[in-house]
Amino acid sequence: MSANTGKKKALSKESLTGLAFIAPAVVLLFVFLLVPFVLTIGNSFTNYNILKLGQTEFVGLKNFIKLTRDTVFMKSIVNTFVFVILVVPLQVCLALGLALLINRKLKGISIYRLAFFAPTVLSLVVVSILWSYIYNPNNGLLNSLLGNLGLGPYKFLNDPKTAMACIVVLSAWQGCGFQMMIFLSGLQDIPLYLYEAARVDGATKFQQFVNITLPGLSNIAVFVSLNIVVSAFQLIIQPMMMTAGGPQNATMTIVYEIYQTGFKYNQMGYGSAMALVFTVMVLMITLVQNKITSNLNED
Amino acid sequence: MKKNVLSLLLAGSLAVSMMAGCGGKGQTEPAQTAADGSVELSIWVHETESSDEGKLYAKLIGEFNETYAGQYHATISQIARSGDAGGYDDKINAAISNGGLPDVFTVDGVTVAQYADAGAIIPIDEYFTSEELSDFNPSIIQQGTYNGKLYTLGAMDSSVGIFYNKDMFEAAGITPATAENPWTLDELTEAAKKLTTDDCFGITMSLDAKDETIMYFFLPLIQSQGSNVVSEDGLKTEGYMNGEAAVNVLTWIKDMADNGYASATPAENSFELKQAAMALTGAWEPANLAKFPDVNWGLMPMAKYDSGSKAVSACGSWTFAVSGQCAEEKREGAAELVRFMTSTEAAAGMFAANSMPPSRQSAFSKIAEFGQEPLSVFQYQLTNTAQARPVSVNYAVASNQFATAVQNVLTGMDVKEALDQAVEQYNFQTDTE
Amino acid sequence: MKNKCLSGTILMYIVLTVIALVFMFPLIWMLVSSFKDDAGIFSDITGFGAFLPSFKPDVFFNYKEVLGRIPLIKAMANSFSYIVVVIVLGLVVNSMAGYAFARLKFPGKNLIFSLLLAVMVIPAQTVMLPQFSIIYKMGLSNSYLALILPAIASPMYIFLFRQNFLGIPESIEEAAKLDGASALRIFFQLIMPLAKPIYATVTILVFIALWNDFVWPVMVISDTSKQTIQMALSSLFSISPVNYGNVMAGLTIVTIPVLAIFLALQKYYVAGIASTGAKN
Repeated sequence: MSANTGKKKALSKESLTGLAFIAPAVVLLFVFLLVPFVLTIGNSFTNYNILKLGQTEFVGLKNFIKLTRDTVFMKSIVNTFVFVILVVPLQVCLALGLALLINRKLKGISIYRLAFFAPTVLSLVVVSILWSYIYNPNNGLLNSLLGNLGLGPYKFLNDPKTAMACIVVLSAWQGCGFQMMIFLSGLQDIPLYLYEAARVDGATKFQQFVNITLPGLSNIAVFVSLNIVVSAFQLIIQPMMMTAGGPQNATMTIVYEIYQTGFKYNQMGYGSAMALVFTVMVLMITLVQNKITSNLNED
Repeated sequence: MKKNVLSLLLAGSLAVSMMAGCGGKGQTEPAQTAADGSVELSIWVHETESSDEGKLYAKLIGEFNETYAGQYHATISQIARSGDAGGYDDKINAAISNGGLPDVFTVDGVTVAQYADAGAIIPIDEYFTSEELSDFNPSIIQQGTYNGKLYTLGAMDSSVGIFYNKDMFEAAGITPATAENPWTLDELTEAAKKLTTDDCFGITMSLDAKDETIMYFFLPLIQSQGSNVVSEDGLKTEGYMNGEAAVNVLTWIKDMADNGYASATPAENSFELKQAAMALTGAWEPANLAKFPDVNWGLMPMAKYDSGSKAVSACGSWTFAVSGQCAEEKREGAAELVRFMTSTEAAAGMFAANSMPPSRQSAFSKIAEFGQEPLSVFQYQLTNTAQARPVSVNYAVASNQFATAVQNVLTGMDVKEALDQAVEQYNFQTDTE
Repeated sequence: MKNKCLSGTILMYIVLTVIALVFMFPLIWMLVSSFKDDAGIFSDITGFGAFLPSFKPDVFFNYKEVLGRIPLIKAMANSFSYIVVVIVLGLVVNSMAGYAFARLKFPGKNLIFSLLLAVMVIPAQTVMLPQFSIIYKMGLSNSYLALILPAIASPMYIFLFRQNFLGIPESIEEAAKLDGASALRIFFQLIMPLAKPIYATVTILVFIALWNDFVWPVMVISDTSKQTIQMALSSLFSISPVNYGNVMAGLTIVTIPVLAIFLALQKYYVAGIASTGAKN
């Protein structure tokens, strides 16, 4: 803000209003998000260790060089990408499907809306504990269910090949209610007369969906997909509670690795370097995604 | 319009001024001395008042304040701990780097070296006589000692043994081991094999645990062979964590799971629900078993590796320490508080509160339950065979890597490969060359 | 024709019910288990018995126990009061910023917006410790301000509001502008009422996120009398052996307010309500 004070006189009324509108948010975000993040960047060039405060010193790029040799971190990058690639389309489709299903006038529909939203109400910690019972290879619910159908038993979380897939399913199931709500609020904004007009023109349900619903949701869809991508990249609670990153590092994710390094091993400097690399990575992806979607919108 | 914008800007900056206005509010240190001239002491504990253990801490502080009225006055903060998801530990860590540690706080036995090395806790030997200390279980002193100095004392201890279903033992014609003569792993395996049926595992050993439990349960089998997971100085794992002794133990674990005698993914409470004939677990188990009254159970000591090796059992629990941020003139009072919280009465009270064995002999003799079976096994172990986990600044990394290795072995990795990988990761994480 | 419609409706109900069950089962399990003792919970866990109730003579024994063990009601009141403040301030602050980014022209708009997108991806864990230092140095530790201030502004919700406002036809504001209404007036009297669904959504999302937040409250609040609901609840987990019946009862109790809020805000989702504005 202060940089602008000099030319304040030249600013139009609208500019002033605009700046005033964003000022509270910007100030708060600056103090509680940007400053801490800049401190984290600073830490990434030191050997900062909470339990070795006296020995903190500038180490240059040492942490970043160490990262290139960190096989677990590399594995966690791959795992995180696999998770994102699997969970994003699944969750977007689930959320959109549910929103369309629920956006109708039907007696008792509010009960169903509540039901679909139910998994998001519980904390992820609780949901993860619950699902590890369900996935238990010995006497879990899922295996006894599949057993009745003559399938399995499967090892689920205990097999490096299937562990991540199990977490993908649970995560999409848990999270999609959240995005369903957002899609729903988007659907509310699509004027009903558009559908009425289309019906008069004899458009099928599918044509209505493609020509009215999808374009009408595009602004919201940009948000929803970005929202899922960002939260998917931050996957931590599920592996932390269910697999501890195993078996054989199959579910170790970047943020879990950052947490472990910084808080469990107290190596804040090294953890900060991981966080920095991670943030730059996600930033680049979201920018690319943003670019693609805005290009699509222009078409 | 102008007015509107102005009021908005004001509203925006309100947040800032609110912060400034409140500055110093939470920072004010508690007054050094209270109105009656007594020294103010602060203490943090890891249990809230929702548990009997937490209630006991609050009660003890009340008694402390009565006993030392006019001299010391302690204020307690009870903070929830939540396993991996942070909580108490994160709060301590944040306070170490930002200031704000209390004068006394509870420390998990295995973190003593870390905190001592960081100066977050200070030695307390000078405040205790050697006669006083001799009453404590040897392993309590061992766990609290770093670089030859004593940093912590606890009121409670813990132990791990083999709980068994008496009815199943009788049906299979198996005679349980006594406290003085633990089974060897071969004997344990043989019994587990006999007891395994289609719907019952021979033994449950929490093999699905991915945390400290693994080290707590299985390190004694390595120590039983005269080895350990880290070197004497607590720094190196090469040749220890991937040494012959560790390989032997992990191979045994793998065989138990592969043969179906123990589940690699045990169901919760399988021993209590009679889905396992034995359970390798800790001193907290009797309280759990109380909820399953139709289980007729007994307790055997921890197994030793083979007939030629010595019996070793697990131990260690939460302790009290004086913080490095405790002002010089308050340290004597802080040490007095530690003494009070670990007294014979406190230690005996701990058993009543959470069924954990006491940290000192004088308390054992006050609790009737330890004079007879089954709990006499734990007293015998804590007096004779208990060996503390390594007092190492890198313990958290070592323990985590060991648990990972066990998990890797149980999901198909070769034993030696898994342990070599654990050592490699340990070296990498701790910058050990 | 009418028959076809009816069978279609029935089919729809069947589909909805099946999906609803798939999504509801943890809540059902939680509720059902809150009436069982631990032996019951774990002997049922292998099959569908887990979802069937079995009542003890003293039906609410877990509820009585849990309310006797932890100050759940007090903690819920604590959480509730600070969350309400965050929601009220957060809705105003974030939606105003969102509106500015959607509609108003001001210098640095694109740069600030890109920065906003950038900070959105910063994982909470990486800034937690510096964040704590800042709170501590401001002298806010152990006060509700430490919970409130960092939670108000959120890039995510600013972005969400912006996207939603972009979807509102500009023609609505043009008329008001011609009448000489200020941006502030347009925003509060025209846009806010129009965008009720998104305000309702954000209210629900913020409420749930903060209601379930654990690590941050633990770090900044040390006074037991100020503890939040998750802090109180977590002590049920930390006592070994965990009494799962008690835990389930506790979880059921703390889930009720979230469901209540959701139900209360549902009316903003009745199909078609918001679309009336766009017809003008």
